[in-house]
Formats: sequence, C-alpha cells, structure tokens
Amino acid sequence: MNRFACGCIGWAVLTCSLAVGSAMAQVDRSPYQLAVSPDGMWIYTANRTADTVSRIDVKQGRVAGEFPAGKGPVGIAVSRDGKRVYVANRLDDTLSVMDAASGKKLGSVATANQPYDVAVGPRGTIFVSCLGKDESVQLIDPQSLSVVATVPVDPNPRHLLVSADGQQLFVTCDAYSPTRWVDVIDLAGRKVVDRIPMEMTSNLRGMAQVSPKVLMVAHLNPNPFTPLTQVQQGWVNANGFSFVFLDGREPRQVMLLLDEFTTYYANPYDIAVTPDGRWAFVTCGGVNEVVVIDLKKALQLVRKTAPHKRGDLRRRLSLSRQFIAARIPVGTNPYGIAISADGKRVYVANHLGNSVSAIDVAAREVISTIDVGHAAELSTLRRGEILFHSATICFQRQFSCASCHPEGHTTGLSWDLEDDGLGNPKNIRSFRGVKGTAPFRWQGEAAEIGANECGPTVSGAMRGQPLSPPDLEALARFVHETPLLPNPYRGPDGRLSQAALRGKKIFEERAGCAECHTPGRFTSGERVSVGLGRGRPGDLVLPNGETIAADEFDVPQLLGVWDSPPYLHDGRARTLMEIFTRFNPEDEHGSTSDLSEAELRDLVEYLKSL
Amino acid sequence: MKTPVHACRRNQHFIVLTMMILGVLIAGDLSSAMGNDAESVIFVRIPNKPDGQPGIYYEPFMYHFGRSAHVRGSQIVRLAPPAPNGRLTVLTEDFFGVEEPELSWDGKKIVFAGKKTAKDGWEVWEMNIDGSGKRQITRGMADVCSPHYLPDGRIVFSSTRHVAMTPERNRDEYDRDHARLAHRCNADGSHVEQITFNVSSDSEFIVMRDGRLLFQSWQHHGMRFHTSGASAFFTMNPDGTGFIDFWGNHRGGFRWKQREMPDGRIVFIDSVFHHCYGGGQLAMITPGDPDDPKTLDVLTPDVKKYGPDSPGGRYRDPYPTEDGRLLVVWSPKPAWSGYRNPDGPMVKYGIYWFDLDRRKVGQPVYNDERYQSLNPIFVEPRPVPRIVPDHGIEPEKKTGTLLCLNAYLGQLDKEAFIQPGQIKKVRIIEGFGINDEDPFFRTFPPGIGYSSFGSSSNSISNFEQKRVVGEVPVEEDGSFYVEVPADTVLHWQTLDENGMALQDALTWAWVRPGERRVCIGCHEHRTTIPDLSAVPLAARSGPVQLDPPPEERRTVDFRRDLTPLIESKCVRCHNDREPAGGLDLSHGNELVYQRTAVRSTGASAIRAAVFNRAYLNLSAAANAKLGKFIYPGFARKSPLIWRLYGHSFLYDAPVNQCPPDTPLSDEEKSLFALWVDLGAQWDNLPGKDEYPSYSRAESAKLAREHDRKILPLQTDAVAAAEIRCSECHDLSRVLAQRKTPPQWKETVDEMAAKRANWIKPQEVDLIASHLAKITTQAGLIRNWKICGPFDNSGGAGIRTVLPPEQTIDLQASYRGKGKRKAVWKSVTLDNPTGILDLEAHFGRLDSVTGFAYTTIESPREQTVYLRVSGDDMFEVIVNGKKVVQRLVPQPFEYDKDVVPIRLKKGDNRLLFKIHDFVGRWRLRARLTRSSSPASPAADVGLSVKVAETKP
Repeated sequence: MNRFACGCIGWAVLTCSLAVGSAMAQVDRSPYQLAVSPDGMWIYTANRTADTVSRIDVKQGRVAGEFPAGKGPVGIAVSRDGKRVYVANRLDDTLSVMDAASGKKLGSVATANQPYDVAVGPRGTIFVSCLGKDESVQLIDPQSLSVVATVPVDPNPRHLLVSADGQQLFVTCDAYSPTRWVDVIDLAGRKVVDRIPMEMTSNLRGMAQVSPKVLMVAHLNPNPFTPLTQVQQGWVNANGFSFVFLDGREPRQVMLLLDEFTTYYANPYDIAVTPDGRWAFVTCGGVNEVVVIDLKKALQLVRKTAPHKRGDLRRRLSLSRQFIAARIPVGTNPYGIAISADGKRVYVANHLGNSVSAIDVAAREVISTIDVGHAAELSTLRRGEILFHSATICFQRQFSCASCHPEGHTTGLSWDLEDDGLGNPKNIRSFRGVKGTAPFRWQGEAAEIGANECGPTVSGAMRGQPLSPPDLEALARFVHETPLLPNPYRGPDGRLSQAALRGKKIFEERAGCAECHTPGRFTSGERVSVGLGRGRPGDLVLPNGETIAADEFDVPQLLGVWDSPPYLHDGRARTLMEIFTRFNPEDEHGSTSDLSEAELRDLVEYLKSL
Repeated sequence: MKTPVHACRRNQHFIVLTMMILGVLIAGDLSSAMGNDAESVIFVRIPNKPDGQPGIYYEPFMYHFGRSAHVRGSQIVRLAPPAPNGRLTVLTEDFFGVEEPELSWDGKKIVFAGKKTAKDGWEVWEMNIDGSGKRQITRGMADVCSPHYLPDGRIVFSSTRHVAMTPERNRDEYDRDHARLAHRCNADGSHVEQITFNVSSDSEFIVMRDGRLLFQSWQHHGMRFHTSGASAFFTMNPDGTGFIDFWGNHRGGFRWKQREMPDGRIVFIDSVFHHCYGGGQLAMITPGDPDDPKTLDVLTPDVKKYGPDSPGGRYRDPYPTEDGRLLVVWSPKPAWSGYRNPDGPMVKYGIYWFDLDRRKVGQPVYNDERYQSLNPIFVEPRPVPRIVPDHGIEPEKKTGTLLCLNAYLGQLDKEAFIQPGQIKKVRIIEGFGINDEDPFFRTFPPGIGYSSFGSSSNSISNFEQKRVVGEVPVEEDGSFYVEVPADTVLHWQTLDENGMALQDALTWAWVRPGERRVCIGCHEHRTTIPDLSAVPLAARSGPVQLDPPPEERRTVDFRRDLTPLIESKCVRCHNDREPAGGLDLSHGNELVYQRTAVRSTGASAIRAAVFNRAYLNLSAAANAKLGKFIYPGFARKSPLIWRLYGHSFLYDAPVNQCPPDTPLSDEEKSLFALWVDLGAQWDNLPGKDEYPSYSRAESAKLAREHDRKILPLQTDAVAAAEIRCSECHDLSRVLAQRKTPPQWKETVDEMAAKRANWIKPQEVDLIASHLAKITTQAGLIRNWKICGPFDNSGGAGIRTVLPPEQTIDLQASYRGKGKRKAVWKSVTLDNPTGILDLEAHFGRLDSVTGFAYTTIESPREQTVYLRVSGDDMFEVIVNGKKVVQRLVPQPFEYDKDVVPIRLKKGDNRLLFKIHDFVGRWRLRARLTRSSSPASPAADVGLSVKVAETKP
C-alpha cells in the first residue's frame, strides 16, 4: 500500500466522522424511505430508528451529513426546488421542515396522529398521510407551514402519490379487511372523489404512475379463507402488485403476482417506474431483492386477457416469468425506492441493512452500496427484527412474520391455523404491548412468547427450516418487545377525556368488564367463555393432553385496542361498538345490553384510551 | 498420460508445502493441475454376461416377470480425473452387487444399495468416497433401491419391506409381490418408517433445493393411459405429507432419472416404456405450469424414445455438476430389451459429458466395451437443501383428515361434463394389489376394449382390487371434509345423486397419521392459487369420520354378490336357449375356460381366463356383436346400468328398463352400479380367495384340450384367420394396416415360422388372402350426403330431435350452431381409409352434431351388419327408426361397433347422427354380410347408392 492510498483512506475516515458526528455513529439508522433531489445530486433518507435524516452525496457515494428529525421519521420528500426536505415523524405527530443543504430546522408542523408519508404538489403544497387516530391526508401550506385542510380518507392511509397531471393525489388505504382502497383526492376540491377497491390485498404500500391512465400499487395477495395447512402454491400469501386503470374501464384493478411456482418475492413494498414508463423496480422487503418488471410485457399480458378473465390473473403463479426482467439482490429488508429525474439511477433504502443501494437502470445491477450508519454490533433485538422481516426463513420464501404482523401489528385478517382443527379462522393479533400479557394466542395456549412458540410457527405455519436456538431467541425477543404506540386518545399528560372517564366507570362497575379485563394490562390471564365460539369446531388439545373447549378464549389485553380492528377472536366485530351492539345479545361478555347509546359511546371512548 | 496425474497426486503434500513457502506467486500455475486431479466421478459398472449380452435389466424399482432387476457383479468405481485417462479404483470389490450410489452433501460419503453376498438381501450401505469405512445402514429391508441422503442426516430409500408388514396388500397391480415404496430411516438405520403408499412402486428420490422430495411414482389405476399406467414425477415433504403431482402425470409414458440443475430446472429421461434399459430422450423441464407444453425442452430430439431404432442412440442417468455441466450415460446404439444381438450387446452404455450448448453428447469420460457404465455422480460438495421439518404427524393416530375446498375445480374437460350442483358425495376407496394364490392365474383376457394388457385374474378389466371406506357429502360450494384411515392407499370418486361416479381419481394417494391435508380441487392447475371468499362450508362442522374397521369396508364381488342376483332376475330371459338381445347370462357359477394372450408379445405370454359366462358376456369387448354393456369405473356411462335403471344417466333420457316386469330393488340396482364403478371385478375380495378356481395343473389340462379343439386344420378362411390370428391380435385393428396382398403373405409366413405348432402351412395362404380381403375395406360406404353443424354444447345435440331426424330433405337449410346455416353437401370419399372427416367440410369445431346420410338398395328383406367407427359418438336411424345409440365417447377405432340392422326390400334410408364434444369429428361405416369382418355387403346384393333427394 502506498502513501497515496493511505492518504485517501485517512481523508475518507476524517470526512466521514466529521459528517456523521461521533454521537450518532453507534446507532442503527434503518433508512425507511428516501427521496432524490431534483438535480439528482443528493439522496435524503428518513432514518426510522435514529430519528435523523441522512444527506447522501451521490457523486461521492457517501453520507455527507446527518440531521436530527422528529421521533420515528418514516416518510420523506424534497421540495420541487430541491431546497427543503420534509420528514414525517410518525411517533411524535410532526412534520419536520429542514434546509436541504445544511439540515437546519426551518420549522415543525403538528400533524394528525401518526404521519406516515409525505408528498409535494405542483404548487409546493405538502401532503401528509396520517394513519393513526384521524385517518386522513393533511394539506400543508409550504409558506405558512400550517395545515390548510384535513381530508378524511379510508382507514390506514399509507403512501401518497401526486398524479402525473398534478390534479389528484392517490392514497393507498391499507384498511383492516380483505378489500383495501386507493383513494383519489381531487386537489382543487380537497376531497376524496373516488375510492378504488383493491380486492384480496393486504399490506397496501407504495405506488407509481406508469402512464397518465395507469397506476401501479404494491401489495400482498392474502388468502385468508384457505386453511393454513401448507404454504406452497400461494396458499397463504402471494406477493404482487396491481395495475389500476384510471380511464374508467372495468376491471379497474388487475393484479399480477411477482411470485413464481417455487420461488416467491415476499413483501413488495415500493415501486419506482422509469420516466418512459417501460420498467418498474419493486422492492421486495422479505427477500432482499428488487425485481425489475417489463411493463410493456406486463400490460400486454393484461390487454390480451379478456376483461372478465383478468381477475384470474392474480391466481397464476406461472405468469411472472413473462414480465420479470431481472431480480437484483440488494441489502437487508429494502423498503423505499426512488428514481433519479433522468431515469438512470434507482436508489433503494435497505431498511434493516442500514444502507442505500444505487442501481444502474440500464445495467440492472447494484453499482454502489452506501452505508448510512449502524450500531457497532448486531444486537439480539435487531437480529430478531431482521428475522421477523425475512421471508427467506419460510419455505420457498412465501412470507415473513411481518407479512401478517406488519410493524409487529396486524393486517386485521383472520386465518385458519391447524392447531385447533380447521374451519375456525382466528383474527391476527397485534404484538404491540404484548409483553406481560401471558398467556398468549386466542385460547391462551402459549404460556410465553419464546423459542417454544416461535419455533413451531417457523417450522409449522411457515414450513421453514428450523432456526438455530440463538435465532429463535432473538426472534421471540423482538416479538415480545414490540412497543405500544403512543395513545392519541389521551391528553398530553395522559389525562382521560370526560367521556372516557364516564366510560371508565361503566367499564369497572356497571358492565363488569374489569372483572376479567383487570386494569393494568387489562387481562386476567385466564380463559373464559363469553358464548362466542359455541357450537363451532376447534377444541384444542395441548401437547400435555389438556383440552381447551372451542368457546374458551384467553381474555385479550386491551392496551392499544383502539388501533387493531376488527375485534373478537374471529374478527366478527368491525368496530369496538359492534362488540356490544351486535355480538353480546345474552350479556355473556359483560352486561352491556341495558346501556344507552350514549353510555356505550362513553365505554368505547374509554376502551380507545387504553 | 496417466503418469503426470499420478505424480501430481503423490506430490500433493510437497506442493502444498511449496505453496506455503513460496506464497501466492505460483498459485495460479498449480491450481489448474490441482483442479484436474481433485475432480472425480463415481459410477456403477456392470460386466456383460458371458454370452455377451448386457448385464442389465435396469430399472431397479421393478422386476420383470418374477426376475429381479438387480444384477450380480456390478461395482461402484471411482475415476479421477473424470476422463478416459483417469485412474480407476474399484470401491466395492467385495460385493455381490451394488447399485445407485448417491453422494452426501459434503461430497465425502456415498450411500448405495448393495448385496454383500449371494445370500444377503439388498440393503442400504454407506462408505467414504475412497471406498473405506463401509457400513451397513439397514437390515431386514427385504429389497432396497434408490437410497438418498436427506438434508437432516436421515436416509430415504425404496424397499419392499412393507410386504411383510401388510400381507393383505402385499402385491402390486401385476400381482408381483414387490411394489417398492419409500421408507426413511435415521443415519444409523434405526427408526425405519414407510412414507409412501401406492399399489405400484415409488422410487428414485432426489431432494430439491427447497427440501421437497421429487420422485418418480408408477401410477397404475384402471384404464389410466391404456392400462399400462405411467410413471410421472411427484413431490412430497420428507415426512410423506403433501404428496402431489409435479410433472408428467397427465401425459402418460415413463420418465425417470430426474435431477435438479443448479438453476432449478429438472433434467430427466423421457421414455415411453421400460424396455429401453432405463434409457430414453434427455429432456428438461422448467418447473411451472404442468400443462404448459412450453416447459418441456427435449435436448435430444434425434433420440427415439421407443423401439430398437434410434439415430441419436439412447441416454440415461443425467447428473449435473454445481457449475452447470452435465454428465450423462449414453449408448450410441439404442438399448432395447426385446432384441438380442449374436455379435454382442447392442447397448454400450458409457459415461460422457453432455454438451449443453450444442445439445449433443460431448467428451467421453469412461467407456469400456466389457461393461455397461451407469449412475455417474460427480464428486463435489453441494449446497445442503433446506430442511422441511416434519409437520403434524402424530404416529399414534390411525387417521388423517382431507379437506377439499372445491371438488368442481379441475381441468377443462371436467368443467364441460360436470354441472354445478351435480356432485353430491365423494366416495373414498381403498386399493390393493392383487393377491392370487396361484401366480399362474395372473391371466390376460382380451379385456373390455381398452386393454391390451390385462392385469389379473381378478377382473377382465384392469382395475386393482378395491373396497369402499365410505362416502362423504359434498357441500354446495364443492367442499368436503373427511377423516380417513392414515397410511392407506386411497383414491376417490365424485358421485352424482344416484351414487354413481362422475369422475374417478386415477392416482393413488394417502394421508399420514394426523396429517391435515387440504386440496384446492381435483387436478386444478398446480400453479393456480386457491380462490376462496368464505370459509369452506364443509370445514365449518368438522370432518366426517370415515374409519370403519377393514372388515366393514364394503366391496362388490361378482361371484358373491351379483351371480345370485343374475340367476334369480336375469337368466329367465338371458339364457342359452333364447338369449334376449343375444345376451346369455346363464350357467351360474360354472366356469368357462378361455384361452387368450397378451397381444404382440408372443406365445410365452398366453394365459388362461377363468370366469363364468355371465361375467364374460357382460364384460365383452367392444367388437362383440352387441357393443359394450359396461365401462369399468363408469356406471353412469354403462348401458347395462341404464337398462337396470330405465334411464340413460349420461344423456338424461329414458331407455327400456330391465327386467321389464319386475325391476330390481334400489339396493340391487346400486349394487350393480357400485360393481361397475369399482372396476367391474370378478374377484374383489382382498386376500386369499375362497371361491373355486382352477389349479395350475387343471388349467394346463384345459389348455391342452382347448388347443386340441382348435388346432385341427382350418379350411374356412374366416375361421382360420379368426382362430389363428385373434389369439393375439385384434382383427379390427388389423384393418388399419395398409398392407398389400404380398405383404400379408409375408407377414403370415413370418408368423407361421415363429409359431409352427399354431399356424399350419396349409392355412397360410388362406389366412393371408383373407386378411388382404378384409383390409380392402369390404363394404365401405364412400358416398355420403352430410349436413351440419348443429349445436351439441353440453349434449344439446343428443337431447334434441333435430329436423333431419324427422324428414330428410336434401334441399333444406337449417339453423345450425352459432349463426351458421346447416345445408346438405355431397361427399364422395376417395381416401384409402374411408374415413368421413366432418371437420374437413364444416371446419375445426367442438361440441357439434352432424348427419351423414346414404341409401342402400337391398334385393330382399334381410339382416346385415354395420361396422361403425364414430368419433365421438353416433346414432343410427334406419328408415326413420332409431336403431342404435352409441352415446359413450370412445377412441376412434376401425370397426369399433358392430351393429346388426334389418333392411327391407328396395331402398333403405341410412342416417347417422354424429356427435362431437372435443377433438376430431369423424365417421367410418362398412356394411358386411355377417358379423365376420370380411364379408362384403355386395355378397348379399346390397348396393350403396349416391343419396338422392327424397321428399
């Protein structure tokens, strides 16, 4: 090694440490989404676990600066002139506005609960999707940095996309049901003018516009009514995208799968399309790959299929080889993706790999991988997080834990697992705040979340190769430690509203809820029958020979219950209110039938505050 | 050339040392020499027999008429480097015989099937790749083949061990006591567990990179692929759960020797029969839609898969290396077991590289004329496949469950025939191999028409013995959910409202104890994912328990159950004095000796059939006078059943009921229907047969008597041809041969030379001239007026009386299928076959009905015989009266149906109504004087006129 080389390295080390700052050096960044500056010189990443934004110098291929953002930054956008960066901070309900060059904080806008994605309109208006309490898209004036409109949308709004003509805003609404929605907001009228149903989808995420009349949406294709007895042949989850045709012709949604007969492309998250509309790049978070779709071929396939048969395309595992042009291995758990304005480079945020991959569009290969910064060593928790998001632990890579428990939460769907016989699907439970609520699962058959629980899930439901004990421990730990999100129904100091206070009284006294939902974690840890599973199959025989009757359920904990519809073991109640108005006729599940409508509203208000 | 390689090996230590000292400077120069030497190939070589014939009959999973497929003197050898100048080491000098070596994932050990001494059985053995450390893994496995390492350290193999464990079903469908089924055991041979359940054999397991076992399963079931069965690729998890077809199950033929290429493609040998010493075409499939022909890539199209000729030689045993090269076994001359060559073996299997770019056999690796070299494996570490964990098996359980999401889902043909709501139940059926006390009675009667190779004396059809486990209701959404005996050979039938089979699964399958098997449908496209919008109805109330003890599983035995019924209800009319409709069902249990043969395989295969007259006549072949009474496996299609019920189920039309005055009770009728659905078996009682039958000695005596009766010199040409030829040949098939009279003479001469005691020299000319005569299309109708196409979607053309059936008006124009007009056209056939191809005149259409019309002038009132081939179905209307309905789709075959018709004096109007569902749409008709195939109608003064307009 010569002196020149030494000098170069020394210079590089020096610059890096200057740019990043020593305080931040030991933290995983987890770049979630990214944005490219209009001139293509800079990339900005929203670093979810570091509460920062990284500014990457494309030419140098390295991080040139890292700036503090709010808590849990996930969405990011650059203003049209490239001078400002907007960041949606999911955990503290703010939008950070910063100077793109210096990272100087120009302002912070209080948004609705859980801002997730940011987009910028043609006149500079900032759009923020808020998926928490008030599911809406907020319009923020870039000058005054004030919310000028809040447009209510379908549940769980995720990604935003400004239409090519700048007249409309598309919102993927990842509702907790087999049908989800792409809402279309008319920007002039500031209201939803169209709701496009996305049938048999879950994990509805990123979009891209292929042409003025064609939109593309990434999602899973869940199959929740099929008993979960095998994973091959797309039995549980398949992975794909939908073309959404905006010219009014039916069918408006045509789904195609990315998957092949024996190899799956789990968890498609986000899409970038080349400016000529010819190629689409889709991040497949579960398998650490980006697939390149030949849009011409894919659209041809749709066109040559008779309209009434297009609905069947989503069931065919043999089609993807007709339009997948390449698959490009990238870093761990790629999430956000963006393309440079000239269409020559695609950048991928490797969420759990703490890096950004730069892909050359023409060569279809990664030309550089830019480290965004990571912890000194892989913690058990982080290792668990990676396993949780990895579909490669599943037989043929069909799905990851995160496919059914995105962000440790739930897709709201119900699945028919084998252990209690078939024909009795159970709603997916959120892991948020699960710690300390033993026993687990709907019938309380799991005493703890540990290797004993995760092992059979990986090798059983996922048919995966058995994990090593340290991996299992890490996975179980990550599940166990899934945090609760801040409750938006509480006042800033955790205070309850008047309605909630009235509801609390009903909960504890008149309705008798607290007898089982013991305050604290709001579970007694016991099994009870409230008449919900009677007469149905599903007696569960535990390995120790103990039998749990089909209508006996673990008293579910209620923390965070505001955010995990639908309710009851099979998801039959779409809202908290329905639990009492429709599914408690005999007062077996608390004495609620003599409560007035107003009292029930109070009770629900209290439940939401938990 | 050998010396440097040796020197290199000997100097290896020195070189390594030198490398360490000199550092990296010379590493490049040395690595190439090292690489060559490090490569080696291991294979099996088998010495040719002393008489020079190849020492193989080598599909280890099967025996050939009682002879083991294994060979003695075979050796596992190692060749390093893999080139003709490589050094050869024999690794199993001390074995009686060895077979099918497989490499461990780390490339250090070999597992193989071996027989140590003549007294030992074939067992699984293991050794290091240098031949050291030999270790017997299994003991008492009876007869083992196809061992393979599993990624979790266990070993899978095929064995006949289960024969001893389940004596009741210990034979395969050919009554051979050695169906080989998959077993697995621990690395030390402990915990042997049977994991596949089949009437035939499962073998040649490989582990795909995703951890599933891909293997070839010989599936024999009833009429599947014209009775010989087929071997296709199936997959399952290593615990025996999730058995499902992978590729080839819908094609027929035989394929084996499959391997997974590093890119996931499957390379294999495609063959049509097992007589090629395991050889065939080299082909590849890209796993995908099994029904997409594009997935099949034939690498060697110049190889003929069948027969003794093949320009491209014949391949077997492909073996891909990790870097994508391919070793193959190739013989420049085609290997074919039916031929012997006095100059030594034709087959010279050697080991070669296959040139994948040029798609030709490439550099030789090893080829020694004295041996057949097989089963090469390239020694190198390979990626360990994923471990698919055992799942859901509860060994103490006796049952597993099967949930079908939608029994209506299937492939296209099914959707065309089964209407929504039509499936009421599913019948679960258990299968057995045949178990005759005396193997002599593995007899081969002519069968019911499909058969060229009957299977057993248990039946004139080709079905295995079966019994009914039970029936389970099918819900409106097509779902059913049932708990069935585990580890049991099963198949199922969907049933209509009368309990008759709508469809018969032709693959044997099973569930493991505790397995919860869910199917989307029946043979839906395997790349299609399920599509449900609600929990299947059947799943909501738990499985129907169907696990009766074996003795309560119902079956129908012709002798036990039907003969008494026939005696009391049918014989009154159908007796030998005046058999109603020409059908004689009399003489009860008196056995009829019928000597017959396996067609085209010569005298050695002649067998005897011993049934009673009622069974023989009811199950008579299609070319009998009255056509078919039964279609084994399909009661709905069988005219016998239509008669008993007074209703044609296939076309929903009334027919005359039998017996006319005292119909059978519902229970009796359903007994007949079940008998047909289960395969119309003579002996359907699993295990030892309690019913009288002939002994071997008695049968031999009968054979001699029989031969004496028919051996006297025949002077009548018809009798001579029928007696001499139809022993082995179906004369109606002979009609398809386009031989000239001299060629027939040559053929008959050849046969007379081969079977001098059978065809007398004086008979040769007689027979040859007769054959020449009958192949001149005696009485063929060549002048037609045709009209069509009419709609026959879903059988509409069959149900509807169309205008030409009422009045024949050759000027008329009708509303045809779609918006087409149907008018009469004149056709004069000048093709040699005499086939009227309606598609040539009306276009390539499906689901259509058409008419063919002609007039026949007869000098007097008389009965003549129509010999008809119809595709798919036909009806005959003579002088305005419908005299024949052949409403069962069947293969087009010359003179398939022989129909007596009564002609009046003068002109007779002969109208054929021809129905097509799918495929070709054809008719061929001849008029003969008698039921003999060569008696042209001209003999009785008939003349076929060009049809003319009749008002």
